Amino acid sequence: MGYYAQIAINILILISLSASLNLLLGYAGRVSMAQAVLFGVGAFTAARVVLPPPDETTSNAVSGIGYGLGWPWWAGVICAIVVTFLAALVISLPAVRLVRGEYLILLTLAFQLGGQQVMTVATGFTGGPFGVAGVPSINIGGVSFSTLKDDGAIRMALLMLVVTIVILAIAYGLGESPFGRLLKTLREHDTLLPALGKNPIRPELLIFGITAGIAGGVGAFFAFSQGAMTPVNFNLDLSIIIISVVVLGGVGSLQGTILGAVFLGLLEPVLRVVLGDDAIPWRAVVYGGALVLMMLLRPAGIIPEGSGIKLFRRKKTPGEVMSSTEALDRLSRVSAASVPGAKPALEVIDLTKAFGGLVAVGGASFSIPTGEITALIGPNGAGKTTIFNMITGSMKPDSGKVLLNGIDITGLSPVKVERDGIARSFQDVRICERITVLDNVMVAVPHQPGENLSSLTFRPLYTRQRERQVRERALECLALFGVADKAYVKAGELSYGDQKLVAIARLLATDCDVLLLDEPTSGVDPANVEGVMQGVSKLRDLGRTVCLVEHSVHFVLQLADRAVFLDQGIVIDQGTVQELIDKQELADLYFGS
Amino acid sequence: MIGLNGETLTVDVKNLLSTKGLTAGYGKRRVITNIDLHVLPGEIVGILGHNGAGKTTLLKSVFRMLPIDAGVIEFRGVSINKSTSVKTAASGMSYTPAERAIFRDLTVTQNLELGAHALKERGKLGERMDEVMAIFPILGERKSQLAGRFSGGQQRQLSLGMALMLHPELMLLDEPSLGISPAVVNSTFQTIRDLTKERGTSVLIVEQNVKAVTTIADRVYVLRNGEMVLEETGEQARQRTEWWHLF
Repeated sequence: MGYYAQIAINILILISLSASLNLLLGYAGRVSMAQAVLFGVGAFTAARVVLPPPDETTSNAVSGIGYGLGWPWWAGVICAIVVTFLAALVISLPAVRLVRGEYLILLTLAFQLGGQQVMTVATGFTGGPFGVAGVPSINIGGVSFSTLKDDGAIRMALLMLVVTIVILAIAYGLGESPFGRLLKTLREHDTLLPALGKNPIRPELLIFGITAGIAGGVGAFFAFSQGAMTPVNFNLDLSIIIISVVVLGGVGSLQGTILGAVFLGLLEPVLRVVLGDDAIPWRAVVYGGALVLMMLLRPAGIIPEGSGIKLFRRKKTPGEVMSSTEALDRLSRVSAASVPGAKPALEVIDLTKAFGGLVAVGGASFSIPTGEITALIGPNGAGKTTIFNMITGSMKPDSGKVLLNGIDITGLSPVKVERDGIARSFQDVRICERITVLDNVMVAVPHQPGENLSSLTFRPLYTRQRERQVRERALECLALFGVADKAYVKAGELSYGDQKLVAIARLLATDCDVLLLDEPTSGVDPANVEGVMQGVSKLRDLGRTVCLVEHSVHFVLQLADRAVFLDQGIVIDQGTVQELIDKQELADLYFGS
Repeated sequence: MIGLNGETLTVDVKNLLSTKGLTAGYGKRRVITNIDLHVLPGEIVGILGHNGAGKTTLLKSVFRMLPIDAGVIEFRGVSINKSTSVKTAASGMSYTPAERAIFRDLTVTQNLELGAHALKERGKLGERMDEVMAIFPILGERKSQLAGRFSGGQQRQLSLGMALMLHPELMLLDEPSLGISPAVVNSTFQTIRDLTKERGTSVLIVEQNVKAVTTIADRVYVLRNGEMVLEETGEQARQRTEWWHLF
């Protein structure tokens, strides 16, 4: 019986570790090869906190270190969580913002291998190769959870089950929260969050820390259930198994992670029953074969993200059936009334930018009137997108100024520019394909307490109430552009035209007054172009100031009130679109002379 | 031609190239939709349109470098839907991309040899090279120099020369005027015009430079946001004063 309880404990530990990595790999899209070493840091920390203090009989014999602080078991768990959380911050500082993709794998691999080595040589803390022994088991009110006895082992397995359920609940709660939404956005597009006015660094650092903290806490329970361990318990193999569980089960899917962990955790005991002691080498074969098969048959995992059993049905809100006019009515009530053409919302003064010897923008000056649609037009290479990049702060101008309502915003970061009231869309839509249409728009709504972990934990009611408002606002934005019926569909399933509409809805949801649209109609089917153009004019109906880059003069004629004609980074002329196209010299520039 | 009963028969000149309902793009992004066009033997056809209208995508799908979503492409009356760019190049079509369509670290001669990669009669290599150098004398003068040292206009001439090495029946040219000076644009387009007269080569040119193309084209199409919005003769295009609404 104790043997089966031990298998159960191992599987539950694997589920917990994988669930924590799923937060990082599945939700935030950042891989870590150092999960095992963090698990080990937690285990050794807990062991040394809980082991009794040294006395005269204590010796550093070959049986490993057997003394510590003598604190209670729960203090061991807390210390393990705190220490690994801090250790993870050390790893993630270089990882956040600087390191991506393959380099992040290499960096965390370096921490895993380095950590393993440090554990082996830090004999004063880990006991070196001999490890730590005699870790007292958990004892609650005189009831022992020692795995040395059958009943204690079963109790320990049940306790581990409770711990695992708590970890799964935390992972689920975080993943489904506004904080989780930030992570899922980060996973698909690095540059999107700053453009929506959200700082991407904090959630990324925090999720590295939380993932590690959970692994550390699980490490403590591992120490209590095993009683003894050496650094070998926390080597690279374990890190790879944890990653395999997440990938095999389905990245971003907790139910998949559970299944994956059960499958890989049961592999060895089952093979042992079937093949006896010859099982060990076969484990690797079956395990490798399973990975290859899964890659061929179910590349998104056993249970792909979003396709598992729905535990909680999301209540449908009345916003889903809202008509476009109703949405316009509701949204205009909260929109700031602006007087069209009263004064410029945005002024660009003598902006220049050169790349090496190539002058992309050579002293561009123009203004964008409040509440109107202004188009930037001109031949290819006129510098239109470069100007957008300089206005939104993603590129620093060499000289010149950008004024928003008369205030200088030149050189501010993209996050600050967005918070000051300028949002932009991208040529390549930059929609997050793996999350729902609704989530794509909700992430853009400002002031969400749920993106903050302290509000999420300590003000859950307020957070939930605000989340309802955010959802309502996002549905209104979607309804305005006629795509609210697709709110709960994954954005990747939409047509390109609908994705463009979702991107415009997301722009509106930012609540920014000035909206910059980079080629809103490019790549859209002729059948859907009309819808996108109507969408853009609805932004003006809501009092927003719109500036767009559009190559098709035909569309500009239908959409824009004014246009700025650029050629080779210089403003040639500005005025109403009709005024501009009446000028022969502009036609010569555009069509060749 | 007069028929047996004295009626007038019009002879259908066979299209060299024709597309029907051609639709293509990149993944979800639809770039060209339902394109019908044709090119007759010896004809220069221009495709005009704004930046991002789908002109290059159209050329690439005709040359079979891009998978197509729908429609038919016929070259000499035979469907080439299932062909590949390697096969279309060998069968008499050439494609010259807009920029840097040369090997910068190779000499002029080596570049031209590569242009003739699919040439079966290797003995004709020297003859073809002389032909090309007669058309673009600058290539002959600098034949052992590295192509990367050339000016933009000379590089463009070299890329055209590479295309001519196989005596293509149909040349696909992507923005031959891009990045070169107006004087060179004029002389390049004149060379293209002369070639079609001498050899009966057909040319399909994609351009943003309306003036340059309309001067030499027999017929033009205008592509806007992936749709064909106009087809007219070169003469009508030269008369046209208003282009804004088409772009």
